[in-house]
Amino acid sequence: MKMTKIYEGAHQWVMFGRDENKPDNIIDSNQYIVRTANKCLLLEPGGTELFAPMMAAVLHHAPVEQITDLFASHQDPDVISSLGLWDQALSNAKLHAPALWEGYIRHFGCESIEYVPIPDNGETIKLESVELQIIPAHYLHSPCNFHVYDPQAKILMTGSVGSAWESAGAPVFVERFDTHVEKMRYYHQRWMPSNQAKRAWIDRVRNLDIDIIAPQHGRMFKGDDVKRFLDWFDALQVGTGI
Amino acid sequence: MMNSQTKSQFIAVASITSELSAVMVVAKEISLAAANAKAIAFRAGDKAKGFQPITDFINELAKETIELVTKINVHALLLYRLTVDEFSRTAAYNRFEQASKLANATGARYADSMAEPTAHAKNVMQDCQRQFKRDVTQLLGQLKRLCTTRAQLVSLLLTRVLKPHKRVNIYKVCKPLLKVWIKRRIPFTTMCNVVELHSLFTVTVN
Repeated sequence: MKMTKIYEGAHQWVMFGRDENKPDNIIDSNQYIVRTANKCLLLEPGGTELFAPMMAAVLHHAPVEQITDLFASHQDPDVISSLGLWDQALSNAKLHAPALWEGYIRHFGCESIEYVPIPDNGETIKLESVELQIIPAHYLHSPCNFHVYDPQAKILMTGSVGSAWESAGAPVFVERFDTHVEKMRYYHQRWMPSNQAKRAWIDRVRNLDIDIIAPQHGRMFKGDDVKRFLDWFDALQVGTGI
Repeated sequence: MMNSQTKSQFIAVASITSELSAVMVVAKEISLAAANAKAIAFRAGDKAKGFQPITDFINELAKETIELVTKINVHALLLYRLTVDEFSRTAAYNRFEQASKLANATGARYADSMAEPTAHAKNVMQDCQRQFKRDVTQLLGQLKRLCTTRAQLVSLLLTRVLKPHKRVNIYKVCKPLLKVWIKRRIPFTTMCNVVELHSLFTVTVN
């Protein structure tokens, strides 16, 4: 499992992904942690198959007992099917996940972890002194979907938005936006169902000060590529599966 | 990945539940048939008067079977839940061990912190396994009791109820079947033979 520190300040952001040992027939996914002095938040903890390498990787940054919070943007198995295992490993943790999906996500196993339902209009997660904003991103692609924005680190974790299918050895940041576009096009056209929802999301995030867009699959965007991505996505017609 | 022992447990519990369902259906049919036979015997008047205890007896047998099967079904359901739980606990323990090994192999700073959750997962898994064994033994005991009770009841049927009606040819017909049934302690599912027995009663009364 590759680990890349993407923000280092009073707290840290670390990206995990490109697991070389994952089975070929499951999609590669990015996981993130936000680490403060005594707490650790896991964003998009991943699928069951990924649990052991992910836990081993997190242990480079935090002890088990300090993994206090988990976040799932939506209900898909590559996002949160490992929940049943985290549930047995963590003695005092909360899962922040969409209220609408509670009854579904609990199927993965959620007995000891406290499920904190996120209302449709979002909320704030407080991790010691760090305040993370939960931004609504409904229908992108899931009907109830959220992204995480850190105003201090200026990172927007966008779940499925900005995702692309990449090989295990791919770099973690986009290097040439023009060529990267082709890796994203079909995914966004097919997975994102609504131009209206897309527009609402773009209007919302254009107001945020963003250095890094961190999706759940593929490469992250930084610097000028953030605006390039928003412009490209804005112009893209989605919902082509009909 | 599910191991062969877990698969066997799932199959065993599913088989028990399936057999119990079949027995329940048969027992209900017997109960209905007994009521039917009673009505036929009543219509036949004095010449069939001696058959009323037999039909009552069969009806009682069916009712008891239904009650026992209901109890055993509850137990089988709990056993199924325990199997699912054990599967989940074992999977967790294996993943925790895997995570610990990986963390140690890559020199993770906090690798040691996995020791406690791993030890806890192992204890819980072993508790589940022990409870499964206990519950299976208990369930098998209930099944055996069901089988034994049926055999004793049939023996009673032979010696006390049917014997006074020696002249009735059904005794001859049924005796070999019942003897084999009792001697071999045939699994309780063969209780469906009672249906055959009962249909013989009905034919004779007619």
